[in-house]
Amino acid sequence: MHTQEELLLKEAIGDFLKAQSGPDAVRAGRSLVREMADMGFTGTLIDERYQGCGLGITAACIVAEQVGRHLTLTPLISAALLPSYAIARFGNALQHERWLPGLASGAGLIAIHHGGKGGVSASGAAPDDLRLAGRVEFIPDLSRATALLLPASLAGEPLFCLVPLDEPGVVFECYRTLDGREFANVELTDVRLPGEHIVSPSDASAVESSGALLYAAEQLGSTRAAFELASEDLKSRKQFGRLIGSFQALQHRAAMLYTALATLEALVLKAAKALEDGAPDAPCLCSMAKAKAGRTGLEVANEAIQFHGGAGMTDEYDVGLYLKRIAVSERLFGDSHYHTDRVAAHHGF
Amino acid sequence: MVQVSKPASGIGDDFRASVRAWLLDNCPSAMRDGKLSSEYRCWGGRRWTFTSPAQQRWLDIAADKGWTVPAWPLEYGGAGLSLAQRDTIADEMRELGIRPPLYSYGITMLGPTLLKYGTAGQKSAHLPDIARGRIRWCQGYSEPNAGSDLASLATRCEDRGDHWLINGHKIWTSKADQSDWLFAMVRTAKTERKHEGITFILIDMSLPGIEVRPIRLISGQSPFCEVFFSDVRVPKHYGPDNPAVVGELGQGWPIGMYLLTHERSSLGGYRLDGRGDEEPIVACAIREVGLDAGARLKDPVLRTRLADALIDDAACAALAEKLDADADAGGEIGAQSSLVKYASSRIIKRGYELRMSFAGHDALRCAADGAPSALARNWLYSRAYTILGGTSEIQLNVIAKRLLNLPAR
Repeated sequence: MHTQEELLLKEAIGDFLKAQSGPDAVRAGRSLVREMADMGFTGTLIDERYQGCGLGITAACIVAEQVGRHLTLTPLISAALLPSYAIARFGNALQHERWLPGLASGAGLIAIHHGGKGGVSASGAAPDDLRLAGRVEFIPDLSRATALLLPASLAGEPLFCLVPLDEPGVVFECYRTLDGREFANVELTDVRLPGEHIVSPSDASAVESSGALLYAAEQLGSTRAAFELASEDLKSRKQFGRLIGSFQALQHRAAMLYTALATLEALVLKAAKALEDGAPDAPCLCSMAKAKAGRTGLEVANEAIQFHGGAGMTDEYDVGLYLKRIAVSERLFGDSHYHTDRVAAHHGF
Repeated sequence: MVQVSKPASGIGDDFRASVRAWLLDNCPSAMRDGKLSSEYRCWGGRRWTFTSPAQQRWLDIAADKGWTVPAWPLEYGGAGLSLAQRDTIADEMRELGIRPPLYSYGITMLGPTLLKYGTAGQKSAHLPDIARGRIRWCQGYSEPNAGSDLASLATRCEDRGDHWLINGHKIWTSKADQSDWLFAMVRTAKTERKHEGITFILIDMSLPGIEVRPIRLISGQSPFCEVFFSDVRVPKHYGPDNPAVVGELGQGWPIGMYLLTHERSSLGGYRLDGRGDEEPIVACAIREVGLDAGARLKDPVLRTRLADALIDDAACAALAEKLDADADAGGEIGAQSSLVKYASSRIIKRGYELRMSFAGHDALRCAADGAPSALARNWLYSRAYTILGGTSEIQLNVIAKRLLNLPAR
């Protein structure tokens, strides 16, 4: 259950994003970048001493859910919430000082990489002479960022490398995905990093868990919105002289989707509380949430189009935007299959 | 930006620790044997034969503490705790391998209904007997022509001055052959709208004219019965302020439906692991199928199916916990219980499907006397979960109408 304060936060960001984003903004390619910092959302997970709000991951999930609900084009999740979680949790005091204020103010956003094709090899002797080379793909919102947080490993030890994008040897190519979001592929040629740019995580999987969780929350928001669109169609469109929502075949399908949505919502909340409390089953619950969000999201969006009939196939209707958004988020921070595999591994099979 | 504080869960580690300490101090060791399956359950009632002195002692000790019904008020035999605290007690018992001291439909269904709709006299006459396991109740709802369409029920209840005269036929009455009392929905008037004219009534099964016949299922078990009523004379009052009828005459439908939401949330406790009394499903998979050198289940398809099911199971459990927390906070669960009933009845069936797949042909072999294997029996019986307590189709109707407000025409 959410606390009263969390519900207030949900209302605040929901109202803001409803006014500032939505299907029309997606069609116009309008992003919210500085506005998110002005409202304080970029600092959600950052301590007050670095000009943040000092909230927890459950609050970040509420923010992410509303971003998904309103299809908002924004680097908020990818280049503010996730890197601030990683740096706040695993960085040292100097690194906090160096990176967190920029993340909170939005002036120094940091893109983050997870999975995708390609790979980077690290060599040299950390902390003062680390060299990176390779290629990474499918990085959200890199064009809005000043640096890239790149997970790598050196001699079996996991590292998070903070690569400034203006560093010599960094070349990137930007593109948009189906849903209007901005991504980039990055080529690194013998990039040298000083020690203050290298974070040694005590638990590298925590960043994957937080990414899986926040994108699960984001998908939950898009999925709920797609379901509501479908539900409105069932309540307003007539065929054979009656509202199509009165047909039991459709009622039952809607009820099944709603059940999946309600269980997904509860699972995302439970995973958030577990991660916030540092519970031992948090990584497994975060993987479960992401796997379930992907499956349920695609199922609901596909059915929402089917309920709309031919109109659902038209570019003019909004319902297709949700399918595209959900399909892109499915591939961020591990898809359903990846996380289903993680769940099996967490259970020892 | 809004300040968010950490929620008070209501269940501190202190409470959990005190529960554990009390259980360890007070539960007889013979009841701490991990035998949690239904055949080891204590149901109580006048016809109950305790399987051991320890079972009886444990019932008495737990009832003295109010922990057979922890969330009921103290005056009716409970401990006045929250639902979340009740769940913590159940969790701790399961963790310690302690058998629940008492299980009954009086606890899961009738009790909450009387707490809401009963008179003071009805509550004090019936609830303490349920809490102490002295009276066992069964549920007279379905009839041969009124299953999913329950409001078509036709068992007649006529006003004969000092008593009610009941004639009719109930079916799918769980454990009627071992019960002392029956709560039922009966027809007291023929009305235009069939939901009216239904009355909720409490019937002492020792009254003359009641006949009970068990029904044999595809699993070979007979947990359900038919109950025949032939000129059964039910007194209008069993005692002062203790009428046989609950609520108003002809107003029994909403009461019966309220009880169903409790039945559905208790049925919502079913998990992929089964009824909480078997080898955990992951252990079962590993034992039957085996792991490869990479510690992955040898059959990759079964591995994926099991992991998928664990995800849906966790999501279903999370929703059940959330609804309990909402109820503790004073919210009315109502039709939302249908979400959990629908999801959990499917998940428990999936668990037995998976176990059958893990076991392969071994599970299909019958004993010399023709009895199916225990697994096959449980798998066959598990087909019932999406039928009993309101079929999945009825749950979907409830969700569509009550939660989604989809139109009638």
